[in-house]
Amino acid sequence: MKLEALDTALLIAHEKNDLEQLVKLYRKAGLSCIDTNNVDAGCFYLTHAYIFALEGGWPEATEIHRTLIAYGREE
Amino acid sequence: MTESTDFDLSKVTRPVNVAHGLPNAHYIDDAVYAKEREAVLFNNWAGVGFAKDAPEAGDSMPVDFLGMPLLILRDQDGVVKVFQNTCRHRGMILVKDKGNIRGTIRCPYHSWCYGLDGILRSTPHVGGPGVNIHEDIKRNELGLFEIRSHVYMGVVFANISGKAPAFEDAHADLLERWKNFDQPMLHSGDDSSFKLEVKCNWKLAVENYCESYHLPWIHPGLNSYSRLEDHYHLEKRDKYSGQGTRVYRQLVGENGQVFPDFTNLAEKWDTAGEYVAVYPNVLLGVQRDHTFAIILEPKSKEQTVEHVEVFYATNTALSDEYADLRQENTAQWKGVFLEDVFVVEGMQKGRHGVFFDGGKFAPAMDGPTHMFHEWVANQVNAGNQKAAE
Repeated sequence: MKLEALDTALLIAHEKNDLEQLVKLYRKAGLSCIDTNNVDAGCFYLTHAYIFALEGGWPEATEIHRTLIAYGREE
Repeated sequence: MTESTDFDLSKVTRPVNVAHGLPNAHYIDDAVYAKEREAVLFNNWAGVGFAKDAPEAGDSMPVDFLGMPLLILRDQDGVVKVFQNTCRHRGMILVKDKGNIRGTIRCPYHSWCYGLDGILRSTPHVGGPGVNIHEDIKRNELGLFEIRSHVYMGVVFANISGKAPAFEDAHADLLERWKNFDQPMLHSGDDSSFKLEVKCNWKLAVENYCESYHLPWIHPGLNSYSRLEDHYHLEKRDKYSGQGTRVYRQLVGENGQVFPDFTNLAEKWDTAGEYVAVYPNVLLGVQRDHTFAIILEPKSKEQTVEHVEVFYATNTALSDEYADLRQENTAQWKGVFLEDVFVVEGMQKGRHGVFFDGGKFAPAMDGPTHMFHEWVANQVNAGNQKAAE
């Protein structure tokens, strides 16, 4: 997904407070940045994915949490 | 010059036959109202909500209690807890509406997240973008402030100051007296719930509730079966006061339908009903087949909301078969409490009379009311003493 399309999808998800979609989109953006060695941007997105996963009680929170810890961004 | 709010309350704490009631200022003065907020309501076990409003794990109910933002929530173990509904970061209100929290409580401002146990779970970007940790952010020190709470007769009691004795100790006498009713209180929903907004100080609703003296005058409908002489005082100094009746009569519907009783009640409860003001602001009533609880929510020195909920003993009473009888029961109580409105509002207006001296109690009849005045005076005096230390 290109950046512009991602931003649009995120805005829609925020508008609808669609936690499931927010987790999915932010996680995808985060992992994609990390794949291109942009760790800071990746952890920024993953943080958002993590927070929304926590809020919604989604199981993805555990894996994202682990990733953030691995990069020294969470405890 | 600042006007003193330290009135001499020694006349209030005299024996009932020579006592005066609380001075006017305790009903019409903003400074005294503020003082009582701390010394009377926050320093004791005040009713702040109903457990039935958070029936499932994760259910949350924000409450504004005299300006204090509280969050009543039921945790994953089914235990009702009360937290200060304020984020530890910038003081934002955390939960605005009643609802269910599936995972964590996320602050709507910077998204700090708290578990249902109040523990701070995440602090996004506190160390910079994408860095959610910082050496000076110690999550174990930044959980939500938990307010001591206890559920009794369906009411969530909270001791905001945290300094009152444990609820079980503070109200041991009442718990013992009503131990027969230590069983589940079932609520059927909107047909057993109503609220009344009254233009009076919250204390006047307590004072009117706990005496039977007014019954033949204000509730003449009771005269036919529950006369004044059928009532008795309930007086436990420093704890509660109220009244009881020896001739409680069950509501009977068509075809002789009555609500099922609570189980294993002592024989006394075949015909007894008791009505107690649990200081400071909760009014309870128990009968063989239903109970009710009223939380008096002070909105200002001269405005109170009475939140009334009726509870039943068994699921049968909650069934459709009993819908009409439940409605009739709720309507009957609402009718009784509405009859009291002009009285409490009239006493409120009367307290703007500059020559009113707190009033002269009827020695044989006003004991329960005087006992409440005496308790309030003692709380205020203790608050003054503490402030002076």
